[in-house]
Amino acid sequence: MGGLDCSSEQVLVGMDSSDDAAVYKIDEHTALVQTVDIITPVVDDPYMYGQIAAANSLSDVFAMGAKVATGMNIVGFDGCNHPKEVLKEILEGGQSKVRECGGLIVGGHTIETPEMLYGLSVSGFVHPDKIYRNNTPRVGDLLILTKPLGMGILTTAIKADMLSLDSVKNIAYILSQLNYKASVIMQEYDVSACTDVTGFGLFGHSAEIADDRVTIKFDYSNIPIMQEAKEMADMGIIPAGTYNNMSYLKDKVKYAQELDDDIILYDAQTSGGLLIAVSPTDAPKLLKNLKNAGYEYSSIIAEIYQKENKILVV
Amino acid sequence: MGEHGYYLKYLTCTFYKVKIMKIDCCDLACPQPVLNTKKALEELENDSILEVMVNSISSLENVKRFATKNGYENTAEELENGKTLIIIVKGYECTIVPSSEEKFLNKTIFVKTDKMGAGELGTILMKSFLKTMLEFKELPKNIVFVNEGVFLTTKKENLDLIENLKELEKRGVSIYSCGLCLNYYKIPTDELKVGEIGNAYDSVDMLLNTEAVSL
Repeated sequence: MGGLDCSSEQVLVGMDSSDDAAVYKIDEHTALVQTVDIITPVVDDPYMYGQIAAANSLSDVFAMGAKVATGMNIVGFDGCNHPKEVLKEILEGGQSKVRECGGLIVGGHTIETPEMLYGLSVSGFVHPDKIYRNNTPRVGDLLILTKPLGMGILTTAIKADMLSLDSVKNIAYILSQLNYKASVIMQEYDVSACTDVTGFGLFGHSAEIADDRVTIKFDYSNIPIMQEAKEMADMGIIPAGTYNNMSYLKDKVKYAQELDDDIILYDAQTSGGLLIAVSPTDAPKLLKNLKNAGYEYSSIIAEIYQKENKILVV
Repeated sequence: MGEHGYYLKYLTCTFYKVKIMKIDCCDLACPQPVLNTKKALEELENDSILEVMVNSISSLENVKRFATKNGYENTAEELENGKTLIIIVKGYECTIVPSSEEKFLNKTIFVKTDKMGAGELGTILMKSFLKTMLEFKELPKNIVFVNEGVFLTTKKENLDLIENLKELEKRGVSIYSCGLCLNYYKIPTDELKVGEIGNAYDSVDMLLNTEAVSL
């Protein structure tokens, strides 16, 4: 989006930052949060695909600490080759997720495309002083990740039909899990920054958190990674986006140990978890509450340090 | 020789007719190149070669990763136009040996005692010396155990060290224990836990024709 200028007093978060959503100030109590995202199918089941696409679209709003108000469906559909029931199921899946976080679907638009596309344009609200940005962590804070890594590799493996039905079900459940509750819970604690892990992978989004101001040191053994993702990575089922992430990030990373599966740290995630910077005092409490709320893979994965030579250390 | 001659550069094969299968995976998105490679390898008979043409980093990395993790020897050769040819060997009889690279140092290590210097420290030093050797890329060709050195390849209390020697052997180092010495110390040959029994002729040959380092 470089080159586009949207600066204005009302725009609290715009295109000049690498943050998750745009924030527009309405008055001193209210700001509008807007985001849009669409994805191609990641699973065969249309209802599940709808849920996952919606969870993915809604996530940016939760990462900003905002509340979802409305969503508009955006659909690309091949009506000649797929029955209308398929589209209906996808939209029902999407709606179930918007409802789950107290939002409403108020409209949408469909065009004919050869490849299926679905997602939402989402609007939410937040107090202008309570926006969670991604690049404001404090030295000493700990980073909590709420979902396991490996979803880019695994969705590629699902397309290649290389996983068991049980694995696919488990993966689809994690993908469809909203970051809504995690967002609500984190607001009760001393959290300094938050983002969601999506296309740039754990390390891409961590680099945004570090923002060339601090260094993030990871404890590799605590990073939640799907076992199937390790197996599929060994099979060479790694999407190009993941390699792209690795290639643009590798100069920012220092390896303190040799790692076999480090490619997963760069894996482009669909509907990934929240990455939350929290004070060390509050971290164990927040972690416990996240686990109780169903984010069972949640883990403290890193600590924020004064800036060193490289911004990411693993 | 035809196109087979092309392989003689870096392949040492125990057979003459190498069957070659070629697949083109250019412009294919992940996971297709890996799936095509997997299918081709399944169809290919043993002791054959599969050539996979790719033109993206991700395809190159993925196909090589797949081949390596599944135990297939492989190498890649950069071609023009951003294309890379991945050569994968199916079968045990054929290994890829880069022609220019010398894997072993022309050295033989003679171990004349089970200790490196006197006392308990001598035992510790010997163990750690042989363990550390594993960390080196270039290894000596041979390790020969003579006199009290043969305790190291036979005795139960040296099992840790024997594991390290097995690792060295796996990487291609020849390990010999002096037969005469085993006899002298009345160690039955079936107690030898790593390597082979060496004879005087081989030992002298190694002393004369490789650089010998004595411990």
